[in-house]
Amino acid sequence: MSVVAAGSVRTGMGDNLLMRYSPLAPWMNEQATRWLATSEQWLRLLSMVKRTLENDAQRFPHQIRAASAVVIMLCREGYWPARFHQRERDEIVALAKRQLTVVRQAYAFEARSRPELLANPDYKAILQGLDDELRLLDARMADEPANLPDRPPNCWGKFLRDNAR
Amino acid sequence: MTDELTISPWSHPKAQEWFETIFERSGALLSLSDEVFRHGQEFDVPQIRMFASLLLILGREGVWPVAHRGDLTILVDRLSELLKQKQKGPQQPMTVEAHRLNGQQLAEAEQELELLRRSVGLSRRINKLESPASWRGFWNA
Repeated sequence: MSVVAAGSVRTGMGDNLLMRYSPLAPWMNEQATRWLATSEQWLRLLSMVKRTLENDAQRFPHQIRAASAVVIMLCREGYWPARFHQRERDEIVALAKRQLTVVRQAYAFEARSRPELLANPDYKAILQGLDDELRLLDARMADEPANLPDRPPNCWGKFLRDNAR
Repeated sequence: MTDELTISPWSHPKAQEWFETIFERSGALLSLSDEVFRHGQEFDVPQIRMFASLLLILGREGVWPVAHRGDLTILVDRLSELLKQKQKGPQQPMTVEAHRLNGQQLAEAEQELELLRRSVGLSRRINKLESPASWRGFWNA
């Protein structure tokens, strides 16, 4: 397989596949990510993320949302070692999506029983943030790159901070 | 407190406690530091960038454990130093294509490290800095 241009890869079959990231992306270098694939501690951390997602989302909404954020950021080729195949990564993303949906429903239910909550801008922003996070998880499972803005949910703030005024 | 810290997934104390627990119990932060300090001299530019990218993602208030905030600064400093050595150091003879790729890697690394230095207060620059081009697609891919 040889890289023919940023954004596409030529396979041995002579066809071009759409690449999701630039080949220069820091998580796309196989040699560079070798530590992640071999570090027991890193694998332990990832398995703790997965185990957290298997908990009761009604009882642990904050932990589930935090674990889902890790999935959004790191459950991709490179950061999530290659021994987890695409299918397994998809399963983890699907699990995060299911559990985060439960969290979203709990927030919405709470707002229905206490309508004053919707007057709180933070509460509305969290609901919006959960929707954005769910959309990103959905996009991760699609075969084609999603037609979404290439930025984190608004409530995540400026992700790569340049401190510019 | 910024908006990010009030409503982000890492804003709630229970979420912060969870991050602290998984980092402590997994030993991942210690292992990462150990790798950078013990084997950093052998890193090539893509390896420096990979570790820098992990710090860009995880090295944020609410995610990175408060007790290890100092380690984050030391790690950023160390990676910056390693990059500086790569920029100055003697280079192997390269093909034109390899030279071009190396230049791109160095430029991306410099941008990533500058973002990191700003995030931990090692750089006080405030001019606008775009996200590195190679991160395009990070969110919607």
